[in-house]
Amino acid sequence: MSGILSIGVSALLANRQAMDTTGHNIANVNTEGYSRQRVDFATRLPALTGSHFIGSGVEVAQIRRQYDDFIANQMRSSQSVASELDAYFSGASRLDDLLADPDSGLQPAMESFFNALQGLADDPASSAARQVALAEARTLVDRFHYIDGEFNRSRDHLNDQIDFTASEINRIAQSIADLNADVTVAYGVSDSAIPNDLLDQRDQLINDLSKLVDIQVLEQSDGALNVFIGKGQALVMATDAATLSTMPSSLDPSRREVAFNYPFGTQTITDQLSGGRIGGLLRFRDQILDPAQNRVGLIALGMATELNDQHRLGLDLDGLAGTNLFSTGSIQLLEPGTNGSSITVGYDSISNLTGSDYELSYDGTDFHLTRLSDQTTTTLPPGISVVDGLSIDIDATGAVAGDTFLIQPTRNGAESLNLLVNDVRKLAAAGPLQSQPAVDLNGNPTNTGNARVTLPSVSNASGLPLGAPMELVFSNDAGGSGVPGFTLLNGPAAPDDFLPYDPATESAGKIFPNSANPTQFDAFGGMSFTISGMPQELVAGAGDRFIINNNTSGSSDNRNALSLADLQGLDHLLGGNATFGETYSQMVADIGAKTHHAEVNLAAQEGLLERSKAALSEVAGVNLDEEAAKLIQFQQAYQASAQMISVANTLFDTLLSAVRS
Amino acid sequence: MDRISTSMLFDRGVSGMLQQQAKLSKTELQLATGKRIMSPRDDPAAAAYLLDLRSTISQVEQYQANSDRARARLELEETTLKGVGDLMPRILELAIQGQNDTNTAPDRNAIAMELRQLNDELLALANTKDSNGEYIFAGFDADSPPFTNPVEGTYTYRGDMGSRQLRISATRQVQDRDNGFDVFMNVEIATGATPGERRNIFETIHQVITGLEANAPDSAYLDDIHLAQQHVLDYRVSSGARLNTIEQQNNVNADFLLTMQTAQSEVEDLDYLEAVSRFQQQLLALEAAQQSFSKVQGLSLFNYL
Repeated sequence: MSGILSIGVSALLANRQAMDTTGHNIANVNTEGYSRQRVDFATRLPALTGSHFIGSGVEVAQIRRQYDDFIANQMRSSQSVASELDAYFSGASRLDDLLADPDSGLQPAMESFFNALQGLADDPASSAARQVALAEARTLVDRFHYIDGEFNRSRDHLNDQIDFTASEINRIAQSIADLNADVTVAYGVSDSAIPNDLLDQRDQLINDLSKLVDIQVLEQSDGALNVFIGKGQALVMATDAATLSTMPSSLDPSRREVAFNYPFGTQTITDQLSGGRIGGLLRFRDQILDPAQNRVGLIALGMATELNDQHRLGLDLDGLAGTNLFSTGSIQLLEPGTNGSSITVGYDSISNLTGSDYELSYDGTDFHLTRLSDQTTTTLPPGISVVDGLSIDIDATGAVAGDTFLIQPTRNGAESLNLLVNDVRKLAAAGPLQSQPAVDLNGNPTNTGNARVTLPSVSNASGLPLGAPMELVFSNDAGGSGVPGFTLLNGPAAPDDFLPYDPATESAGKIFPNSANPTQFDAFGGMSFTISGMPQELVAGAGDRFIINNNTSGSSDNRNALSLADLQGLDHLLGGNATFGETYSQMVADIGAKTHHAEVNLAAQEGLLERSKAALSEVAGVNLDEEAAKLIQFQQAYQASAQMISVANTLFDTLLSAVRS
Repeated sequence: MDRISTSMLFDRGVSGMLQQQAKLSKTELQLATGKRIMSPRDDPAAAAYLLDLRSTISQVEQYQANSDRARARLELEETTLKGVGDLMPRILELAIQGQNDTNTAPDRNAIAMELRQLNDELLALANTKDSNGEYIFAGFDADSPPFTNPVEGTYTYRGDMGSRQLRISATRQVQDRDNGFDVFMNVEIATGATPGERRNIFETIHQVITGLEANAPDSAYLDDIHLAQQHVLDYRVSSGARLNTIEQQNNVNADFLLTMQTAQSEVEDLDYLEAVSRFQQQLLALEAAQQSFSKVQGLSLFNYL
């Protein structure tokens, strides 16, 4: 009788606990990271009565959470990759939208500018056309600044996010360490007592941490979890949490570095971090932001340099040589204060620049130059070397192992671009030289042949303006008896003062200078012209004459404007393989492809994540219908147990009344 | 294990609806803008191709604008030279008439008078200005009149030998005017002291005038006037030929533009038929997701407890 009573009581208690647990499950149906809990019933130790074991009821053996470490690990790594891609994608898509936008992109501004130069070529004397050209130049500069500003804003935002993420990591690491302490204490209480809710909380924190950075987790025998990041740096060791700090790079203050704080000092681990939001941010910076800003800088630098060079070869409305249209960027050489050696870097050829940044370091024996875009390394000797359009001069005196230099050839290209010409008269649309046949005071021709000399084009500024008009005098014996041609006066010195020209065979046109004497006019603006037709020498020694002179009143001359406009279609950049426009559209395609790739991968990874979440939730998630059924189940068992006590009571009463009677 | 957690059921329903909404919103944006590609990541290769296409189109449109300029200028030159060409037969006629021995000195003076007027007209034509105020026969020095007549019988050219080119295609430039030296000054004559000697048209006519006024016309100048007439005609033909060149290039450019714009539209523009049917489908899918969500969420065992 005491048996049935105690069995009934044990069942009552056990089923009460089961109903409590079911209620707990229902209560936490919406709690993030909660794993449903199950009560394991077990029979109590049977009692030996005479020759029989007789059952003694039920007890709660354990309350376990339903969880699967394997699936949880899978979910964590999917989570880490998905968060990385998400951070990468959100940065990339912003630039992607910006760069090809018909209103804010660079391409439309470049087109309008070059079209305005064509307009200037159409109408060099028109002050309106000049105004338009200057206005479009200003718009182009503004557009470069706007896009560069967007890069900088993106960088600021990225730095803030890195700071924020590092402090999040610190906060979570500390919480995990605290929970480790709680968990180990809880496990110490009894073998059967599992701190289910603490474990859930800690797993949820681990999961949150994996969204921020890729981690490795190792469980200890005492139930504590150790967490490692990067190349095995221990972020959480049992009940101790380490911290990360962020700081501007010692080389480039605009670049944020992440460091791991040891008790004895800090170690920069930026390059070792991967995965999670911080991995995505860093990858976005290395693969998209830095290259894009460098590329736009390269276009700005290339355009400014080419346009300046051409503009200086022209003449403005006042007959003066053109000046630089734009200010250009310069190489940024960044170094810590601790270097022993020193270097100087200059542009060797703008068209060979790659747009990458470079790091030069000294290892105690050699200087190694690393191209950061593809991590190619070359060894440079001390002295001058030319690499990728850069001229690098290394002074190895005092070099110390560990000397480091960061070279950013085009980073500030867009920022430094500014319009230097603000007066429409200063636009050099005209060519510097004119040619004409000899005339008398009234402009009447004095030559008797029909030879013509085309307007000279120029390729450099040396010797310009000409000190005196250069004269070409035809003679049938100019090059010695029977060798016809033109003698040059006020031109190159002997033996370059002669142009061989045979009217009998060359009247269709002959270009000077030509392969016979390619450098003939290098000191005279590098001029080039074509002679055609039949010059005459009616009186020996007084043949037809032509004069090449400074262009003094060419208000309607558009030759230099044409040359400026033609720069649009020439392959100046990326090793002479791409126009300015193509250099830009290639970048847009590249960023578009990377963004697209990230978007596709992100969708795939989110699918994976969704699946492992579903798999985990199959095991650990609460199903309300199931809990309702359990509730009914335990309630019925509870009612039956109560009935047992009632039966025991009846039995007892029966016995009592039997004794009483 | 056939169990699914309640929150997963809920999340799935919600994320299903969100996904359908996102798709629907993208299609809606495509329909609103008529563009297939919203940002380069939608189709990176096509996006870069589009940038290059737009750049090419903008350049060719500029070439068309350039050739419109060149055409207007050449038409003005052509018209002006036609004006010169219209004067020359009358000048030749008068010069021939002056040769006639039946003329008296007053007759010849009268003829000379008309010739003077015609020569002035010729000079005025040579100093023609365009709508921008540029003297069309002054070479590059186009802001002052190129031809002057400082002293009786002397005509001077103050322009230069510039000849301006405009770009009308990536590979083609066309000269938009001729300088006055070539057209009016550098004219071969038959009456020179040496072979190949040249004289300007105005002075040739002046020679005829002075001969008539002295009542001693020299028939040799008739040949000079004839040569001058031919010389001007040559330049008129040349400017007409350049107008033809422009016309041809214009047509080529227009065809090219059409091809490029068609290509652009094929790459960039939305296939409305496809997009509208996609829109309908997505609308249906969203409605289905919403209905199934509300039905499924309405079911619970607790309703029966």
